[in-house]
Amino acid sequence: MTIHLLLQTVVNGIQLSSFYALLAIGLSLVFGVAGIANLAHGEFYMLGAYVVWLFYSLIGLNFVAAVVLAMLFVGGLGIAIERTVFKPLRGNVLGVAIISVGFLFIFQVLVGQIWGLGYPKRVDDPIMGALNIHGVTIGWQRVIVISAAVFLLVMLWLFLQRTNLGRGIRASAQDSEAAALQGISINRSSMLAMGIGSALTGAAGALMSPVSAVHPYMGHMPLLIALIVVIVGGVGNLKGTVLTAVLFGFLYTVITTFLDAVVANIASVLFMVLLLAIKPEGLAEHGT
Amino acid sequence: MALLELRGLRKQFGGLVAVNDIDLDLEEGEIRGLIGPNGSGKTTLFSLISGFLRPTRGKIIWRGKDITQKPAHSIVKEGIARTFQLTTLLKDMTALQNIVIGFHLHTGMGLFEQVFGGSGRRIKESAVVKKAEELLIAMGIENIKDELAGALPHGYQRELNIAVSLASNPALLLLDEPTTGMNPVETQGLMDKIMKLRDERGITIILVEHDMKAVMGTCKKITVLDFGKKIAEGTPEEVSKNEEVIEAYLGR
Amino acid sequence: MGRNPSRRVISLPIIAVVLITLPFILSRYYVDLTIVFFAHIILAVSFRLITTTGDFSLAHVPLMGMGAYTSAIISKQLGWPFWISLPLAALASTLVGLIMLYPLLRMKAFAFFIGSYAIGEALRLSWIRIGIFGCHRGISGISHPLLSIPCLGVLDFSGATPYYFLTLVITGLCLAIMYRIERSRISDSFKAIHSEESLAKSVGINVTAYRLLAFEMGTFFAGISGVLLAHYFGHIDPHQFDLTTGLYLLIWVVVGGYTTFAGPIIGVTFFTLLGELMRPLGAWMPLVYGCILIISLLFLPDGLEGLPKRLVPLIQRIRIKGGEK
Repeated sequence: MTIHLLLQTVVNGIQLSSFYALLAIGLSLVFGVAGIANLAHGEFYMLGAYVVWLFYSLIGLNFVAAVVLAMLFVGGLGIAIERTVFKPLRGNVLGVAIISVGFLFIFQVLVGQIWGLGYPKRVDDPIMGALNIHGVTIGWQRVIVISAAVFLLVMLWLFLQRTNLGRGIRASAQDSEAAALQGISINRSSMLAMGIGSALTGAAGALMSPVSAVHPYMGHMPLLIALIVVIVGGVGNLKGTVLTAVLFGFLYTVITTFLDAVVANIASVLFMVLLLAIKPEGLAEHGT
Repeated sequence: MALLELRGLRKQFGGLVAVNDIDLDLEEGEIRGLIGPNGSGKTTLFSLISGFLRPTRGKIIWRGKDITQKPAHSIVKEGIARTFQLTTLLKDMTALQNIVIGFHLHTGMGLFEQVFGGSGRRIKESAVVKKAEELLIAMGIENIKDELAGALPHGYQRELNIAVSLASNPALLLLDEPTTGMNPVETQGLMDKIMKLRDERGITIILVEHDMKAVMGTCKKITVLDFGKKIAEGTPEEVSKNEEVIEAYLGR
Repeated sequence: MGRNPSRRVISLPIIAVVLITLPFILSRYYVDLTIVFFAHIILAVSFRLITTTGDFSLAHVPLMGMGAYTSAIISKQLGWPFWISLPLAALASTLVGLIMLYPLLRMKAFAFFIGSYAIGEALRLSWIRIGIFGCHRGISGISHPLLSIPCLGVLDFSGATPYYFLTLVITGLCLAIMYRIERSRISDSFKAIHSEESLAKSVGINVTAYRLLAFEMGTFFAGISGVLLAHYFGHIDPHQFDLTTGLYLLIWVVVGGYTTFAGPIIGVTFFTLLGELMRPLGAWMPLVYGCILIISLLFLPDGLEGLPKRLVPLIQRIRIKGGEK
């Protein structure tokens, strides 16, 4: 095992971890604050990618602008769904999860029918080429993903810790009744959390669009990964989610490098089952 | 040998000690009162004895047998039944149907017979229904037989809860605040029924109650808890004169 | 529970006559559809059986696949007849289900839902990874059942019509058994666990054991369902048993209703008919399913099975209004 392979694996691990962190954080936030298990999470990711494809690849808008647009669109969509469909079922985690399945199908079909099911869409790298240090390569796009992920996560952390709005959301997550008594409504917190969480998920899809194959079913694996990371890291526990994303990103990279992706997938799901079996209340806890 | 022995029983939830090294001996045929301010660990103690919670430390000995690690359904088989502070009934079923479920352990049918049994099954099911009806009469609430449990007035629900727990034919009955929400007349009526049940069926009873009159009038021996610890035990007179007890109640 | 018994007695022979004549009236395509319909009925009713304890299992479809794969392998590799591979495959499903339950039983409600998906997916991925299951391609050339009756010769079930009757009989048997379970005390125990677990425990019901029982019983029938489909179409692959199929099953049962025995049957019937009516829409079908699911959960929480209950007061109100005029 050469140093080169080791370094390349580490770099791949970092890259995958940052993607996982950005992907999972939205789900963790929404689940932790609003008690919403959005199983259409993968489709929000997919929609983020499609917005970039539409505005950057087709229309020619600037890549950053396209990503921002993706965040706004998916964030807005999340809020709309939360207000109309999720709110009536508040408190019923399984019920919300089941109803979100409806959106899973709706978005998959809509996107597939409007823009076709044939070959996946190609989104060109906004910055072509790769960074090469002593033979260890990392595509520029992946550098962008890492940087953007770190940036957005730090922004989120600052928002939750330093702003009144953010602190209100955290209060709602810990104890919605106590927070309500202080004038922080669970309605507003849920809506905000859903908006921000969805926007971050859209960002993940948008940033990964040049890297992954853009097609209507591209959200399937991301959903599974997000679920694993959130469950293992602790629902609503944002630090735990990021930590788990790192752990998991590396684990997955190592297994894929030395075995294969299918084994990595099997290991991932079994790991999730193990964690759920050991700490089944992990999914019931709220609190950021 | 006492019917029920608790030795050094302790339950900890993280940093919170709900039940703190409790020793208790219960003789057969007693109606023991268990009192204490809110949060003193009475319900937790019930949950420990009845197998709904596992103790952090300590032993529970029933008829000389160590039942500490047994789960709830096994403890029912051993002959210990309990009621809950909040009414726990199948709300969409009738009172009679609720009691029929209570006979779960005594239907005389194995799983196969429950599904595929023919006339034998029908006969056994009818027997269960008959026993359920008799229980309703024994509790004096046969008039609500076909009412939906969820629609019953609060007092009837509490009595139905007791009836359901009697269906498992317990030797020890843990009653958790059975008279909550009842007026003095209803309370006295229920206490009389409980005493009658004890006399007729030879059931030993531990009674958790907030209503001091009810406890003092019904129980010959009372155990007092505060902050999970036993602070007094004795006759109603002894306990009501105990300084620690008075302080515990006044301090809240 | 209080349905008019004479009504049921009248409709049964009619249904029986209809069912018996169907394969002779319908075209090959529709007979195929009906066979699939029957298999789905077994799948949905057995899924609902498990939900009576409150467990919504996304491992149900993978376990159906386990039955299909086991029977396929037994009949292809060992050459054993359908009549042996069917029960063996159902038992294999149950055994695999038992192994899966070990971690799953520690989970409830939503955790169980996700956990069952994860472990079901692990099973499905192992079919892709392990050679004997045929990887991505799956298994083809699964034989049709043959029955040798002494003096009468060999009954070949490879045709649509004979297989239709085979499926009809097996479905009837499965439904009869599951209906017996539904009307039994065991089912009351399941439902008690779901609605008021503390009460169930306090009357001596072993919650874990009963959840296991419900899951195993449901899985057994799911396995049968898988075998029926495998030996008719002759081909199975891992993609037939993926999350999408599991979610469709969920939609049938949730929309049809899962509080009564008939609910899942109504659900499967509704969506099968809908699927045929909207065939020209083709690729839009999942979207329609999704919309129906959302609308159903928001406005018809009891499912379609609860529709009569809701319509009756509505109809009465219309009648009264009409009478006033």
